[in-house]
Amino acid sequence: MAKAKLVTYTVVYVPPYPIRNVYAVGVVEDERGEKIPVRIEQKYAPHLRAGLEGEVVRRWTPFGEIDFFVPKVEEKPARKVALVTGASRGIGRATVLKLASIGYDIALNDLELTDEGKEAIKQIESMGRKAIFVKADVSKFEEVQDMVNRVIEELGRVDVLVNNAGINIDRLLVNMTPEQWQKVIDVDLTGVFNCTRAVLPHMIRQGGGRIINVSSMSALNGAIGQANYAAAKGGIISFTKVVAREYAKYNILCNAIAPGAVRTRMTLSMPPGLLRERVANIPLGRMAEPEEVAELIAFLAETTYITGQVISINAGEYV
Amino acid sequence: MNKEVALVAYAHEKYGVLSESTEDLIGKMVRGALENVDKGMDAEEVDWVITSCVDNQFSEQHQTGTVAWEALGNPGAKAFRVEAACCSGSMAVYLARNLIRSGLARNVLVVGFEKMSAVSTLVATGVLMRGSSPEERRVGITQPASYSIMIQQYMSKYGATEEDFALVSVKNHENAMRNPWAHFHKKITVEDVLNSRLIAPPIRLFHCCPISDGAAAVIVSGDPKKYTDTPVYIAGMGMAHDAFSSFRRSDPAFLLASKLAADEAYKEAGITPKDIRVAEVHDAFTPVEPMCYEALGIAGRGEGYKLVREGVVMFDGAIPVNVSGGLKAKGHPVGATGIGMMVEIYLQLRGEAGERQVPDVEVGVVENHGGTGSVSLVTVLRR
Repeated sequence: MAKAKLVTYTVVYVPPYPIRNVYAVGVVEDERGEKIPVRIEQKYAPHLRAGLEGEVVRRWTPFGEIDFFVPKVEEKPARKVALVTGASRGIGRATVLKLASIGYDIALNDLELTDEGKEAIKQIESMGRKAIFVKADVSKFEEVQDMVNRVIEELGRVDVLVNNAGINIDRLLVNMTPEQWQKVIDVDLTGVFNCTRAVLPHMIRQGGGRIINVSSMSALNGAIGQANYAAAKGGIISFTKVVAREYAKYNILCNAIAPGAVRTRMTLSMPPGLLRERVANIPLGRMAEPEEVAELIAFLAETTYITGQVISINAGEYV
Repeated sequence: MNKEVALVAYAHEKYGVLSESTEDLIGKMVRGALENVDKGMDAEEVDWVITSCVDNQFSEQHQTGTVAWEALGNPGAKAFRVEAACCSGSMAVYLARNLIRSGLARNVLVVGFEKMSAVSTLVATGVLMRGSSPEERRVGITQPASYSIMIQQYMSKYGATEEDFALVSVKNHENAMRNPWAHFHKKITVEDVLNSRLIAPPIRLFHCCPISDGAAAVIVSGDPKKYTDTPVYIAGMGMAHDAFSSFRRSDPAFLLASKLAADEAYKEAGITPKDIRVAEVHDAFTPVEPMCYEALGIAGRGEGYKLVREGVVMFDGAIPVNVSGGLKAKGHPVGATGIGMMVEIYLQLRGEAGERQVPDVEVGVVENHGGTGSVSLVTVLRR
């Protein structure tokens, strides 16, 4: 271990085989004025500047022993920012409160700022975090792009994207109109594409990020009456796997969650008889609270080694 | 007085993604060059064949000398392969010339090639990093990363901007429009370059040469007038080295090896930089092209980028550089590159460059460096 100062550096965005992930490299000067080429973990990339002090550490890797420069900087950014779509109610609302409680500034997206949304913003602010409402219809790419630009302008960055916004128009396939099919696909699936597409360049530049997509148990077990919804939520699962593979090298981790029955407006709008029948089939014998799902989302927001996975949260209703 | 040695014929394949195998390309170039000799040449008159190729992982063929020897069809000829990183092509011509001068050969056929598209970009980047120094490789300083260190120093020292570098890419893409052999036939704008994705900042995708397949050949002769009335003489050639790691050099913002090679070549040719009418230089990453002007002495130290701003090196400027499209847009099939550059100047000097002909060319220069400037060859060609 030797003290050293960074002289010059760059980020290798096209890593050479067999290295898979993006990393930084540089040349440092030790206390005797000796120049040493070094590798630098990508997470430090946004902090790098000539003259930065730190230490050179020789580390074992499967590709040989490599000199790493560990700069003396705070590893975690002072503030982290999460953008949550469909945040004014249900799982979205519980998620923003949970993320704020673990230190995130929050951008709440929805079609309208509801009273519940306003209340959430107040609660977040009372925790000492920033909260802004960013109105956008996630199914419209231009609105989403403007929304993400606003988040960057006002909160400076985006570390976590929770693609939660979703609608359902349930009916048997024989009764489903093309418009009802398309509307659900546009919001639930295209919305996930739009938001992910818009935040990716920022996450790449920042040196990483987490994307959590809210899929559904319906995508896994094929719920009757939800051809459009299940198709969109199934599409999200495949999309998640692609994003995970394509952007792992930028330290962007992407996972999907598949909740079962959650006590939200969407679930409670089921016909009462069907709802009772459904709850009776849940081994734990109850619906999930939105806060329980938010716990899982917050866990995935902080994960450093899980990506491309679909995590079920359904109390054993589908195993 | 050394014997006058000249280029008397060439063959050139289009650069890009080629379906032919390495062996087919070599055969095509060997036969093509022989058939292209103005007054004819028998295979028996070629004493040596030299192949130039950088990495066998691309070609899947080690014995390229033997492949070329078989294609030539002269059982008495001798053949071998050379490698000097990205300047392997110039190195092969350098050796051919010395074989002739030493009396070991009358004529030497030089063929350069590389089949790079056979592997993925990921693998290609890994293979190309074998051209970085051991200490650079160990920590993952790729070729663009090593160049990036040089370019950053150049920018901070002399005030060159990203727009200046973008203009070099724009120029070379525009030049390639006039070259049917070029990998890219697509005009680009300064905005396209500045908006292209980062590779190793400040290097962006549109600063980088493509990964190309390609092949080219020349016949080097000690008795040029026997084969053509318009030979292109190798008036001077120089070769020099600098530290392998770019950050170890006395001045990473300067291509010292190319400067030393140019000095040697000019001295032998009896020329000064003022005599140069056209040049092909090693723009593997376009921000380095202005450094090449400085090494060649056609710009003062730290002033290369101004030649782009002022239009001096544009197609209609006083010293057009990379009228072929350069490595950036013509392509960079590494083993073929140096020979392809020679072919371009050969055509310019013979007035055979078609749409991209520069008027009144008496002297042309090829600057072809390897690694990020750890080895360099400069060739002065004249009518």
